Amino acid sequence: MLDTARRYREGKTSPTQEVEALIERIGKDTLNAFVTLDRQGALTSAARAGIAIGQGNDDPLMGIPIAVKDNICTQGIRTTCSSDILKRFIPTYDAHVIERLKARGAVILGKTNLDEFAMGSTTTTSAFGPTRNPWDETRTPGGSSGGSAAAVAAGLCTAALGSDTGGSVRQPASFCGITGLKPTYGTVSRYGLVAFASSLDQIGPMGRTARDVAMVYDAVKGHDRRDSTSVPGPYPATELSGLDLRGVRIGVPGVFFTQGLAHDVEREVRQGIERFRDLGAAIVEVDLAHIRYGIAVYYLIAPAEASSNLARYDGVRYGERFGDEKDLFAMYSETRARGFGSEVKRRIMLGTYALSAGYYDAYYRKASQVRTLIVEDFRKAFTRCDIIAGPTVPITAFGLAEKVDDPLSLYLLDIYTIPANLAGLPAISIPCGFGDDGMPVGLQLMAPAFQDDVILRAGIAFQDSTHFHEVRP
Amino acid sequence: MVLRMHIISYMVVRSACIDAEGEPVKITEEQVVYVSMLARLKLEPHDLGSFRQELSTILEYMGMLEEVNTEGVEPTFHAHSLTNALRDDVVESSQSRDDALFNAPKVIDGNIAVPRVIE
Repeated sequence: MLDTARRYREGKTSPTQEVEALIERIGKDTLNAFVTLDRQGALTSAARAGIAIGQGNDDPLMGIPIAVKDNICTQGIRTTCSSDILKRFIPTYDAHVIERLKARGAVILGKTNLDEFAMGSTTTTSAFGPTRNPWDETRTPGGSSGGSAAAVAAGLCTAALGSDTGGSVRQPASFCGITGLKPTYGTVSRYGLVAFASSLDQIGPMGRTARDVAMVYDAVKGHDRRDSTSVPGPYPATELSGLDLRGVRIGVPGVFFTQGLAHDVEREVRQGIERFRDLGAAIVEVDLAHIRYGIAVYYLIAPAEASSNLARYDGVRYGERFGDEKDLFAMYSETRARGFGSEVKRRIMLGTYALSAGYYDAYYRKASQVRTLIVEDFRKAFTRCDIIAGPTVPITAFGLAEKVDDPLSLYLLDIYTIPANLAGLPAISIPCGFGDDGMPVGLQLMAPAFQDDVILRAGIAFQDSTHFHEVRP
Repeated sequence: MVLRMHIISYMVVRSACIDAEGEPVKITEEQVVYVSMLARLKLEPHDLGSFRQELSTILEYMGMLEEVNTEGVEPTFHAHSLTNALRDDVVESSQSRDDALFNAPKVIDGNIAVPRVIE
């Protein structure tokens, strides 16, 4: 990003030239990374940015082309959540993060594909078809922010926004060999983010480097009173220098390296952790005793919140309407049956069941109590270390053709990413190597709440001494 | 790869089955129908069996939570314990009526039209 900003100032290229080139490439793209391209809007703001740069504007975000996950509202540009029920929904306002990016002069190129309503980890549940992984087009880019990850990895944009409820920024970042941050809960306003599970959802930046991600994070973070969970601050700018790792304690939970972790992913991640040791960090073992319950906790809490949040799609105020014009109940249930895909329905059913009378205590309340124990595990672990490191995903990206017949198998892949959402912690995935199949492997770093800068700068230090982030598909 | 995922799922599900106390969770077709009614989700006949089976498998996995002692543990509903965020009680403009109606599937005379609810 800084490179592009410099080339703009040196007159080697202009925002208009960059955006025109990208639009042409996206037009020929076979990845299906974008749901909607905003040609006119992007060219208009690129032209405006070019003038500002000519007048001496030195904001590094000015004229930078950014792609936005299609569950973040953009005024006048349809926002579909990759769902049939919202395929004609055109927001009348911008999300807070979009206002922020526009205020900085960034160019919004278009909207990227996702698993329907961000529920999934493959970008195959999209009503607009699956997105492909630029490293191997027969494989999934991961998800749910698969369109944003693929677009960044393929160079179809400079950076992107995703959203992360249980790993939806970090997992596709890992599968596509890019960097993705799930910020501390409450530091990026959710105003204008289509709600999935409100106590877990967080918008996160994705880019080729931790520096790019830090710059986009700085642009979109901050207090916004339209999100009642927005943290008042302060919000100091992130230093873009690598963290001095001498004396920094990196905790490695043994539980992250047990059952189910592919041997090649383990090898690359362990080498990545060794790199931190070389940079001066002390590696310590930490215990996260309740992490093994994370998936069970998450797949009760997230569907429960989703079943409530998605009640709004009833064919009345927005979205598609189907069915009987005489019978309200029939109209509701027909609209939702035809408008939602199968994974969304499954989660609504699961969540409704978990919240229903007689089951609330056994499932939702119980899960919320175990969530407390997970939060406490982290609190204890962070008395012994400054950063927790481990794999982002247990495996590398798998084939789109591989049929996964039972949904639980896919849910289990979220084992390493879910805990940060449950505890509201910042977590980043950075490229740390390649598996035996040549696909990228991600290393995840987590820190105590509000220490996003620590993991961002640890990522910068790592990338200043490695080249994994520079390898292109 | 699918094999790898199945090994993960097998190991975790098996441990859940062994560790969980009491009977494995079973959800009946009647419960599926009841929940779909609560969720306002019309089910096709073939949905019934697949939802019953998938939800049973998932809930059986959730059974592992029973082994955790949560006595006296307060539930966490939010990551940070923020209290209500209130603004000053001052009149402000908000979305215009046209904007609010812009995406509504059916509008009559500036109102959202829905099927009759009162006989």
